[in-house]
Amino acid sequence: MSDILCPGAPAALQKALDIAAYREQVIASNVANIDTPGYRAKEIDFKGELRRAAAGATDESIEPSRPGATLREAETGRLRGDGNTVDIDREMLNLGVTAGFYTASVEMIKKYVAMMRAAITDGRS
Amino acid sequence: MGLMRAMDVSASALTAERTRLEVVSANLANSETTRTAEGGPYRPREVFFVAGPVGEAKAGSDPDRAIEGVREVRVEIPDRPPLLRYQPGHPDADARGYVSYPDINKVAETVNLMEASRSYEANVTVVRAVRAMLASALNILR
Repeated sequence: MSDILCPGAPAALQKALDIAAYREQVIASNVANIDTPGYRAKEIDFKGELRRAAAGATDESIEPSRPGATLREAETGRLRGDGNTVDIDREMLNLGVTAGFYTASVEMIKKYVAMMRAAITDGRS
Repeated sequence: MGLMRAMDVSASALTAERTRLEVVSANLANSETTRTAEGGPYRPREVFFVAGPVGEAKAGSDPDRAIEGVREVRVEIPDRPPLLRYQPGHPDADARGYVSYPDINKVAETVNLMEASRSYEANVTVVRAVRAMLASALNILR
């Protein structure tokens, strides 16, 4: 495979989809528990995870992290009387951003597949 | 698949919020009920949510179990004394002419109702976003 098609790209994009999907689960969990007393909002280091995934795709020495390995308590700066720390606005914002990122990654995978197809069919497809 | 778990989580919350709505409406409906099958006035219920793994994640590994939905909806009857109103002609009046009414704060119940319906909507929004993501993933093959 030539370097023009950058062999690391699909792996990195796939990992990006996994990370976005995992983040969406964390957001779903936070929104679901908005009325659960004592629930602490959780988050992942989205940018850090993506950076690591992108680096790991080209450099085999970097170990990709498992989803869930970096789940941490979110510092939302909110604490209700019942001990719940979920900030709904923040969750809704992240929900939209993550969904948009996911769709963008899907589009890039589609472009990559189209490029491969063009290469296979000698550009005549 | 990961996104399906997000759906499970949101679904558990939708069920929980609906239960809460039902309990609130039962409380409001019975705010003047002075006679029940177990005797005495209606006793207002309160709803508590308990977080925990739901759906497939229950049997999953630790990272799966870290994604929590609403595992349990607890409906409790707090021990609140009834309100006494002086109505000597009432069929449920006691010897001194007082009738026991359930102690229901209509304002608090209404706030509860609005909160439940807003939270329900928030979860529906999440379900919509996740559904759009799943649809776009299917687009890769197109």
